[in-house]
Amino acid sequence: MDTIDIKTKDGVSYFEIEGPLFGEGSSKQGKFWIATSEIGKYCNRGQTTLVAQFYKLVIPGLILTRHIFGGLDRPLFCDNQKDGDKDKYVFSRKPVRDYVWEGGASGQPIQKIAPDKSVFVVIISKNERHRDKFPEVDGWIERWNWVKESEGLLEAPARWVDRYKEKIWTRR
Amino acid sequence: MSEFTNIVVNQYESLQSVKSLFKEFRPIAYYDKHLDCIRVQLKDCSFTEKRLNRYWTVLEENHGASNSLAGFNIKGVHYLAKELGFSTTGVMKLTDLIDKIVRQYPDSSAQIIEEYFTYELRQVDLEVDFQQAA
Repeated sequence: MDTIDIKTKDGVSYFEIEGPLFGEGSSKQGKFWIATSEIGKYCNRGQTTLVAQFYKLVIPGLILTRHIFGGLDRPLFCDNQKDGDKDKYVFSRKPVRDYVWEGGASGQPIQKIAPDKSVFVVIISKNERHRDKFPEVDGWIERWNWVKESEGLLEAPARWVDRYKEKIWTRR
Repeated sequence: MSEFTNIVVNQYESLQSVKSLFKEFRPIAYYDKHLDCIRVQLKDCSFTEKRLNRYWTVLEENHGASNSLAGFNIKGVHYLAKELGFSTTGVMKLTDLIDKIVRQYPDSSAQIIEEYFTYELRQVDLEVDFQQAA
């Protein structure tokens, strides 16, 4: 049965998810956290399909990432930094399935065929500014969604050369 | 430095726990502080984000009618706030914000947003509360 690691620190709970470690060698795995309260916000807003995708594509799938890209090519103010775009990393892969949630609170994730010519990305910020408090965390999971696939590089987002500062890792 | 505690739960139990938190979906607009963007979602569904330009991204519905859009994102909000002169600390009506951006950057991407979403947004009358950032 699939299991999920939940860490609690200073009274706050986090999902811990494994994935490749920012291009520092395919044999190394990183630990990526997201507060359980962040998933709670999706629940509160009724964004049930994003919750289904978190459980079915992010948790078991981050470790299957094919490419990692660094830096979003757009203005981004985050964590009181004007150049927040530099800290963002995009983990992409091409799952064969998608998931939606059907049935509300009495429902469950429902499997669908993955959207055509699309890849699934997870956006992660590298844990640099909060390293002192969270030395065990390599990055913070911030968002996940489908984007169109590149025609030139399998399992990469379309126009990745223009969208991101660099491609920093590809699974061999 | 404080230590953390670890528990391992199975996926089924965790899903049972989170779905008890589900509320009914309504069209929403909220500021995503991690990615400095406003997310506007009009339907709870799977979607593919399609970038139009540096400021606009549309959400194409994955398993619904062809060419159906579930919402859009406005990116680089702090930069836009500085350029267009709006505050990121209060509450702002979404249609007013879109009008400001479209007037300043009247390109084909803005035209898509205006033509596709304006009517529906006027019906639901969404606001962005920057104090309630996700």
